[in-house]
Amino acid sequence: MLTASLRRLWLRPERSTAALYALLLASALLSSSLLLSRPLRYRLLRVHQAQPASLLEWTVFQLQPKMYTGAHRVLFADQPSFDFLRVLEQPDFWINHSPARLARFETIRSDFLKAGQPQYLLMNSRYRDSELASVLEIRPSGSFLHIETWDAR
Amino acid sequence: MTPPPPSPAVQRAYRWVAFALLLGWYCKAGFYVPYFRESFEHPIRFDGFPSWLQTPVVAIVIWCLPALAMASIFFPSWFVIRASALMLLVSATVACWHVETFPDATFLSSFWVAAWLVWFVFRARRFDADFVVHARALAACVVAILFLGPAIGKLTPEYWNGQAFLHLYFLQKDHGLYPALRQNFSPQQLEWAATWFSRAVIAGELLLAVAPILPVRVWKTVVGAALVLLVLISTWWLASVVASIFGLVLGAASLGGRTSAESSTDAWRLSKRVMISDGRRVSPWSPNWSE
Repeated sequence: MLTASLRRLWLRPERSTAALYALLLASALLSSSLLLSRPLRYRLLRVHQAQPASLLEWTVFQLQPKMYTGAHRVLFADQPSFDFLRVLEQPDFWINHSPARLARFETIRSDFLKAGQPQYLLMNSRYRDSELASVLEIRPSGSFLHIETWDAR
Repeated sequence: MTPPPPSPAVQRAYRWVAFALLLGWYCKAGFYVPYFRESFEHPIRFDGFPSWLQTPVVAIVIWCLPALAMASIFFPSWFVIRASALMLLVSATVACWHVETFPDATFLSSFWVAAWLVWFVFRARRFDADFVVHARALAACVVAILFLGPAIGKLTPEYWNGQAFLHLYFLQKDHGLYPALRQNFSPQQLEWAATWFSRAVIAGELLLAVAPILPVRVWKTVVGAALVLLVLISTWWLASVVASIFGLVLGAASLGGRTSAESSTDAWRLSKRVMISDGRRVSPWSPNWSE
C-alpha cells in the first residue's frame, strides 16, 4: 500500500497528500526521537505531569500519540514529598498516562471542595533513564479547584 | 456548471469514518454529561495554562459541536462533508489541549482520523486511481502513527519486565478477567503472565506500526483483529478510542474499484475542460482532442 502510494506521489505530486504525509512523518520522527534524545524524554514526562515549559510544548505533545508511554506512579497525601517511592507508608497507584489528570478529581470534585482540605498529588514518571518527580498542590478556592505545581522553595 | 454530488464510493467511505468517529466521541456521554455539569459548577484553575484552555464552556462547546456533523451522514453534499470534517478536526484538536478533556485518548484518535477525513473530503472530488491508493495508504499510516508512539513509549524497563502491566491490569483492574486471575494464580505466576503479556503488546503495536507495507486485505484483517483484542483485554471504555480507528479502516477498505457511477466526478471535470478548450466545444473523442 505505502510503496505504491509513494511511487504515485513521486510521479504525480499532490500538495494535500504530501502535506498529510509530512504531518505523519513528523509525528513518527518525534516518537522515534524519544529513544535517542534525553531532553525530549524529559519534555515528554513534563507534559505527562501537565507541567509543560511552554504552550507550544503542550500543543505538540498533546497531539502526539502517547497512550501507555512511560511508567507513572502516584499517591495522594496530606504532605508534599518528592521521594515518596522510597518512603512509602501506603501502596502507590500506577497509572497508564497523564498522571496529572487525577488532580482534577473527575467525579468527586464537589466532595473534595466540601471537605475543604488541600491535597498533594505526588507523581513519579519514568521513561528509560529519565525520571521526573513532582508534586501538584490541589486546594479549594471558593467554588474553584486550584491546582498548582508545588515548589519546595 | 454545478459539480455532481460526491460519488457513492466517497459517500460510503465518508459515512463509515464520520459515523464511527461520532460514535466513539459520544459513547462516553454517560461520563461526560455529569462531568461537564460538575466542572461548570466547580471550574479548575490550573496554573500555567491559558484561561481559554481552562474555561468549562470551551470544553462543553467543543464536545457538543461535532453533533452537528451528524447531518453530514444523511445529507452528504460537498459543502456539508467538508464543513463537518473541518469542524471535527478543530473540535478534536482543542479537546486534546483543554484541561478538562486532555487525558482522554478518544480525542487524540479522533484528531488523527479527522485529519485523514479532511484530506479525504478535499481530495475526493478527483476520484481517480491515485486517490484510492493514497486514501488507503494514508489511512494505514494514521493507524500506524497511533500505535508507533505507544509502542516506543513502552520500550522502557517497567514495561519490558512487565511491572507496569502487572500493576495497571493484573493487580489494579476490578473488571474483566483480572479479578479471577488474582484469585486463581500466585503472585509469581501473575508476574510471569504480565511480563509476556507486556512483550506481546509491544510486539503487536510494533507490527501495527509497520502494517502500511502490508496488502490492503491483510492490513484490514490485522488491524481489525488487533482493535477487537485491545478492547477485550483492556476495558469497554476503550471502545471510544478504537471506534474512530475502526471506522477509518472500514472507510478506507470500502474504496473498491471504480464503477461508472463513481466516475461521474471525472466525467464532470472532463466536460468542463472540453468547454473551455479554445472557446470551441470539442469532444475528447474528436481527432483534435489532445490530453
